[in-house]
Amino acid sequence: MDDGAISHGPGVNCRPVLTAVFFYSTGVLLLVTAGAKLISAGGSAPILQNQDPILHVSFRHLFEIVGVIELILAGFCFVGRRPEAKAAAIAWLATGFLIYRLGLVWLGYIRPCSCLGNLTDALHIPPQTADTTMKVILAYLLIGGYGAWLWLWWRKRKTLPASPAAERPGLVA
Amino acid sequence: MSNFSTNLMVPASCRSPVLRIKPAGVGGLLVWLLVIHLSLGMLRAAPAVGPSPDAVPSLSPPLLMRPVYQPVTTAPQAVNGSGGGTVSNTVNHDPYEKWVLQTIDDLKRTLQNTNLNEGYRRSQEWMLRHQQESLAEHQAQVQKQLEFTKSVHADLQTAWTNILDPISESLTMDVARCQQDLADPLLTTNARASYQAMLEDYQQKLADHTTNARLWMNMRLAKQQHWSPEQTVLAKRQLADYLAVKLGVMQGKTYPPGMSLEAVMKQYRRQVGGSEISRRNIVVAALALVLLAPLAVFSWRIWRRRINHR
Repeated sequence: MDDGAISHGPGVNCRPVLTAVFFYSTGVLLLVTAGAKLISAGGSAPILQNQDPILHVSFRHLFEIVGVIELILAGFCFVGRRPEAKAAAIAWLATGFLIYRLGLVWLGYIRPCSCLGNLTDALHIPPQTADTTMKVILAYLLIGGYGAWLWLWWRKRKTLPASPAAERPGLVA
Repeated sequence: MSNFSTNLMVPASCRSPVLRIKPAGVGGLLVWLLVIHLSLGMLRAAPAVGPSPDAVPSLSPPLLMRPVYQPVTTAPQAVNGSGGGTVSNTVNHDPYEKWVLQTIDDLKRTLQNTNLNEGYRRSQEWMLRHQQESLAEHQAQVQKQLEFTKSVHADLQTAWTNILDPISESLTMDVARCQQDLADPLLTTNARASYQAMLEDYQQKLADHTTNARLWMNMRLAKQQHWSPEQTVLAKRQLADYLAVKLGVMQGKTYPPGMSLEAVMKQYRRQVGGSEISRRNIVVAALALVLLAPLAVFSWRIWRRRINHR
């Protein structure tokens, strides 16, 4: 997969290794979190019947929906062809997560977010640690997604050919 | 389930904004009694935490099976869980009791099967315990209703002070249920943390509700029983101070002590006017906008590109 190797203009003539690493690592992270959510959603823990405080759907359904979205996005990170689209999709999902978390804080929901479901119990990971890990991952996705998107946009602008108007003799003074 | 209010004994002039019922006399009390019982039945029909729906079928009876009112005529030990509980050895059970007893029998029969896998056995045991608790709660509730009805017929004035409080009852049951769930040594860390948070939440709500109900009751009694002016002013002041503190916590402010009840109620009405709902709505709207708007833009661009290609 070509992540946009550039051959135009000085200073931007290198293969964007960083974005490629970011997309692959994001794909792996999303695969792990999606797996955790889907496995948890398939369990029979009573807590899955509880309603999400924002969306008012059961945690089971929420895990299933978000797990599938993460899975699709993970696949897109691995096999997608357009790096701008990948960066935009990651930024999109991370923004959704950010608004959800800010909403939880705003509504006064101070418990650790059960983003990984109850699979963390099986792995003996304390809820607070899992919550902190998910916050770090969210920051990574958010900063990385928007950073990659902006960088790709800036690079594309810089490598665009000259305006067609300038090449038309009739329009040039 | 604790979002509805019980300020039913509040005079119209100083009633809480969430109060909408104004019972009058014995007839009103009896109607209200029916409403309480039906409400509790509905609350029990939809427990907040339950077993996986794919593990066991739904065990909630249809609402029409719930009795409107029927006194208990059976001995408590026959139905409260540990021992008996068969339909055959009881008499005059209301339909709900009959249904629960039948369910308990079915669950016990299922548990006698030695070939059950561990997970299914646990879920069945949980259901059995849950049904036994529900039955005990139901019978206690019916017993209280019976006593209350007797007290209403005996002395209307006294009945007001011993009036049944469905929210308090419901919260007390929630607290007891959470405590029972927390006592399970096999509970996972996440589930334990969640139940602990729920327990603290219920306890806080119960304490708030009890204080609120007691203060409103004092206000009502002050008017109804013609308390002395000093006592009436004191009751009003205590209620105003309590609501001012609650309001301050809700708004993140500190109100000066000594605000009049009318002033506090005015602020309270403004605050309670769906603030939590609107907050949630704002969050949901923001989420929908952020998640759906890019998809819409993307779809529109694809559609436009196809049009241009043609």
